[in-house]
Amino acid sequence: MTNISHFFQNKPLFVSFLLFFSLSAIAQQTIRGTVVDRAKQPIPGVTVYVESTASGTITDVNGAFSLATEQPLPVILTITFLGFKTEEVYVYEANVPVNITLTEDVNYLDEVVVVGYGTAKKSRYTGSVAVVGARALEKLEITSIGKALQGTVPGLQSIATAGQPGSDASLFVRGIGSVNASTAPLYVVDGIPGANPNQISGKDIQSISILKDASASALYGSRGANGVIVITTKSGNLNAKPQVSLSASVGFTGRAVKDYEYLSPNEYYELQWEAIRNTRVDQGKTAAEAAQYATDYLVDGALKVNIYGPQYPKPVGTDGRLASGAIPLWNDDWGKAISRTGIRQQYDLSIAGGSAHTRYFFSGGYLNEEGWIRTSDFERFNFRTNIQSKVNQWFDIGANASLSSSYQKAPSQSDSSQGNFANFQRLISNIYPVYERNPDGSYALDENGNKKWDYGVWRPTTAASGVNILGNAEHAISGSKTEAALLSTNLNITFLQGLLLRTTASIDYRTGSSHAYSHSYYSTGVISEGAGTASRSASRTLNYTVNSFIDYTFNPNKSHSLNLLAGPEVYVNNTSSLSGSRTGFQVLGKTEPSAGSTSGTFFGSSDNYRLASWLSKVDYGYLDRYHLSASFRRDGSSRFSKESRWGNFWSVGTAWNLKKEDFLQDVRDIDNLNLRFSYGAQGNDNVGNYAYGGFYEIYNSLDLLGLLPSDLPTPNLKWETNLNFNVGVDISLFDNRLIAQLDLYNRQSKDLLFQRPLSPSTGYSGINANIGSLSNRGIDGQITATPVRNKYFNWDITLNFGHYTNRITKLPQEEILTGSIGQYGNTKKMVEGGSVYDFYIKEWAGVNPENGKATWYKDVVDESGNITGRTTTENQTEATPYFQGSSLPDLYGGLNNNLSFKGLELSFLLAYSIGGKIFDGDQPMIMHLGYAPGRNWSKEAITRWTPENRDTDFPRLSYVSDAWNTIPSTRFLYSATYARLKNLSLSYALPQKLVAGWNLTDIRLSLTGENILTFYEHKGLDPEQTVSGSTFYRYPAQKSYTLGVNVSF
Amino acid sequence: MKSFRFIQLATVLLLFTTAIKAGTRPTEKLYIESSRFAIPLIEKWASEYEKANPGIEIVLTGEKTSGEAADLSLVSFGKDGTFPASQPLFYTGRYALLPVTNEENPLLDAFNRKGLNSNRLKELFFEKDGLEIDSESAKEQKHDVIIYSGNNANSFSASFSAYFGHSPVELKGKKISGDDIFLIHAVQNDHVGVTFNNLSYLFDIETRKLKEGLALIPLDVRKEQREVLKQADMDQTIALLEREQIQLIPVLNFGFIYRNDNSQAQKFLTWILSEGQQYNKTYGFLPVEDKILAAQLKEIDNLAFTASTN
Repeated sequence: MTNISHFFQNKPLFVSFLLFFSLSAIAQQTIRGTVVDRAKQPIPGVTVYVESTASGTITDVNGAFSLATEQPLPVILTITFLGFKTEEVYVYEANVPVNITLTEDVNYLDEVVVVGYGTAKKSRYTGSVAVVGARALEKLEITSIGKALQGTVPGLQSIATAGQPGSDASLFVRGIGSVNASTAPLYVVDGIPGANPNQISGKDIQSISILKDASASALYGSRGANGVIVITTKSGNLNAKPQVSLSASVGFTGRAVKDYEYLSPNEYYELQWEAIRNTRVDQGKTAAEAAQYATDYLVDGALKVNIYGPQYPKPVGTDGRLASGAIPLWNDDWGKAISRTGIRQQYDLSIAGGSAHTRYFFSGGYLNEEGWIRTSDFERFNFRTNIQSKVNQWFDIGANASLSSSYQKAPSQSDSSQGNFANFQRLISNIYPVYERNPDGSYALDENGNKKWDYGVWRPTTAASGVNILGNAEHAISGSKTEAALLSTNLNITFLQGLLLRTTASIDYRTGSSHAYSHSYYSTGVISEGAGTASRSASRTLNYTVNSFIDYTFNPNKSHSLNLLAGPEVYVNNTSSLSGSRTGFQVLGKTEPSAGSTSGTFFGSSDNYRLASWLSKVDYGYLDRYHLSASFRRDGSSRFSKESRWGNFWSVGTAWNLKKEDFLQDVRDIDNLNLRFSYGAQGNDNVGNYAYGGFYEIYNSLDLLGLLPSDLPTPNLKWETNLNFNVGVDISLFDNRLIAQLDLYNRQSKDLLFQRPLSPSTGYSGINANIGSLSNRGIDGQITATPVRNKYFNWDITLNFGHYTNRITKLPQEEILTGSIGQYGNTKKMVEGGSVYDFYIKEWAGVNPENGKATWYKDVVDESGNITGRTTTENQTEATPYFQGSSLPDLYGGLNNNLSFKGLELSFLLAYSIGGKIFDGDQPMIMHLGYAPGRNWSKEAITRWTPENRDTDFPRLSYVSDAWNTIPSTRFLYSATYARLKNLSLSYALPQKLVAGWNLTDIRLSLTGENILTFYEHKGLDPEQTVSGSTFYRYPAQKSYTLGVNVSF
Repeated sequence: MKSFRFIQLATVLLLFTTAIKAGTRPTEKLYIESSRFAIPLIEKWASEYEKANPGIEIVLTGEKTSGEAADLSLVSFGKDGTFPASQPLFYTGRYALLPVTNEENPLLDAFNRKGLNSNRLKELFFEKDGLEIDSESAKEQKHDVIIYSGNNANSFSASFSAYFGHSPVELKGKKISGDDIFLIHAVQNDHVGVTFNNLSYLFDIETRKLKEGLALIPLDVRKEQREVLKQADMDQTIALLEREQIQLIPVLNFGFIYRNDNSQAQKFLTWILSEGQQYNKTYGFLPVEDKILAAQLKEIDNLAFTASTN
């Protein structure tokens, strides 16, 4: 033993080494563990660090971490990840794995939302803002943003006026705020006001914030009166390895709402016979003579086509019945002929990530959507690069650039002409063949054995004689191209803690071009003189915005917080356009205007608009419980004269976080309670770029040119003003299982632009002036409930709703008639106390059972002009128009259901609108009485009046009656209540273990349907109309089914 | 010369040790895997059994040297509140969980003659931040508390939470990674700290009294029961829990899973369920309930029979 001690005594270095080694081994320890969520799914990217030290790490793709520390045990590990509650664990033993379960942080009011010129925590924000996040957007197949928002935001009406691919919806935030100026909200994309959101891919969007009240949108001053929609695109994350995401979807499009039901060929021939017979009787012939005449005249005189073939030269006998054994030789359907199953494809690729100081997001995408009406398409390419970098402690810089190119083929679809694709099947009955037929019903082929379009030059004029829309379209061109570049750069300089300068410069550049061509040869077979027309147009728009703000945040202690923002902004818009056309194409197949021998029209113009502004905002918070905000903006707009150029816009708001009060802190069932109030003034300057100037018209009378004054100058013209009052509450209960947001608002629009009538002796009908006012008072809100929430299954339901009362409070005249529809005249009237869209039309009184004539109501008036009662009349000119309700709904919104079970997720969105009226402007065309031989005919004609069927609503048939039975009346006015299954989505995320085995992060399969069901009582009409409730001849809504796959790694 | 002597001595020692070991070499080893809380009791069982069965050596470890699973694995409670049913399982004792706090916690003074009832207990550990007590003045007062609970797979958090209808994730306060013994340290160092633990950790095995710095949180139980608990004496507490079932105090089984064909393990288990039960209370555990004991002994007998006939 002694020798051993001597051994160690003689080897001090050895001893020291042993000791040091031992101590070193003890000093550094490695703590290992995993982080999962409540569903036991590993969470990558979680930050794990030892408190009060620099030792930290992040979890890997399996949620595992390994952290070395020299701190003596126990140490406190802090685990933090966005969207989850931060956890702390005391580690006493390093050799025991630390398993942590993170709980989702569903504190609704801690959510940070993008608002005007910045972001804010919802609990501190005094304004009314609704947010649609990336998760909700992922489930939608978005071609246009406005359509995608339908039913998702309380208080927002999204009305898609056409199903044409690439067309957008009209949006209204909290009612109709103007009559003659635009009511569209302002779009802001990554800080660029006025940008076109449909040039960006829906997959690039991180969130959409809808700013609804004064506190939220007053910072946008003269452009914020109709609400502001702020779109933020994705950016990467710091300290994140590159995440690649690839998505592909393929699907089919079709017609969302069935067309009207029409008479079959057999029914058509019989009823047309009856119409002819009735007219002959009315002309004094006997029943037998009239019947014989109708039998003889039906084919050769009226319809000009015999679908039953030469075997039945007079297919309908004198008894009015189809000859026994007569069967139609063809079964064409014009509605089906113009429609098809379109194909929708979308491919997107994105890469996002970041280093310690820089984050990036790159994306590229392609969309091709074929509409269900032939020759209607939309195709788009888009690219994006977003980079944000913290160069050093005081300097941040970033740039977002997006490029897009889209091409839309849109056949004529908005008027009553025979070139309107959407309307054509109503003009012509299915008894007429689409392709030329031989008398025996077989196709008549050309020399190459191909079918030939039947242009029907022999058809009656009431059956689109000489026109075959598909044949015309085959050789026609109608398309427009848009190319856009959105570039924005930002730089932030931090002078001191809390004091920084934020500067942004952005450019929105768009070019548009269109080309159209058609030639009558393809319908007539003859190149007549001057036939053929081709046109081209080009436009260029350049907008740029520059702003620079001082942003100062001051938190002297935990009780007080203050933020100030102030600075100038400049917005410039330049637009130029030209267009021209030529005719006289003697050579076929040459579609450029230069090939036309006769010069036609030529137009060119340019426009400028400038806005200069000073804006400022202050936010104050006390104890993180009481919040005050105020904003002020002064705008100078080039749209108004020097005297009226400048306007002031302001807002004040408060928010009170009641949950933080002592009396509520311990009320377990209430998780959050926040009260908000705001009041302020915003402007609407959408009145035309030169609204205040006097105008002349160029006048050409028999080649003598001159100038004609058309509008008087209005130097005092100014913008329309909105005064907005809002009271709101945000509440969440029962561990966030019930979350509600409710707002009451009163939006007063004044100084509305109208024409003040002038005496005719002035030479002018009126003069523009700010002389009207209206109000929108309403309530909007959203309730989200989570009936089931456990480890495996989650179910939440969201109902959002909006209701408003729109009332005109001041009009320059006693009444203004509006709502003119083609040849029908006005259908609406504005009066003080009424809404902007009150129907004012004649009231249908049904069919006179005695004689089968159409009748309407009229007032009975005594000698003094007092109304003493009502009666009916068969003379529509005597009928009295009445107010018949407004087109505006009583309640609108959406119901959203999300169910998830492990990796499977099912969601559906039902958009609804209750109340209001629609005028069906398409139905009158097919409700004729037989005086339009060959035009398509509604199935309702079966119920027409006959002496045996007197109790009906369809008048007696007649070949030559007046068309007044189809004047605008309540006969064609329907309830606008409907619901639409706007989105149904089923998706499945493959199990993590399987996916990880392929070195991927996520694979998700999805099946999505858009507009797949519509619940509406009046068949044939698409209930989603313009906000005015009147529509006709437009492209009906489209539904689609797509199958998609999304892969991330 | 000196070094030569050293070598001689070392050689003699080595030979002597080897001889002893050779003379008493065991013929069979039994490997037992266990959480820390039960190790003192298992070591006692092991030493007493080895005395009666010299040919057996019981080793407390996770794995055999060959890498196979242990012959007996202790289970106190499944993660989801259930025992794994795939292998034979025998209860060998019961543990009880009591809520404790730092003896200087002001809330102890605020308790009136009533203690925590079921609702208040659930609020304290799972639902609320802080504790409201009906004090003598009949006015509710709120007391700050910090709950400490174990985070690991073997922690009593799972059984405690499941007993009161919650999951461990819902436990409020701070989490500890490491054995539940460290919960005692945490509470001893935090005067508003509160935790729950089994009797073998709460009480000192030698003194039979509650460990220094700790106090039992009063529970809303019958007067006689309250008086016993107030004594903070391990033996009296165990005796009370043996006689009476108290709803607010979880008393749960622990036991061993073993491999079917291991007859030595069966014999050891039989011994635990008969002779070994007398040691349970010494180490802070309750014996197995009598009716379960009889059934289990019979079950082991059947297994031993079927094993021997295969």
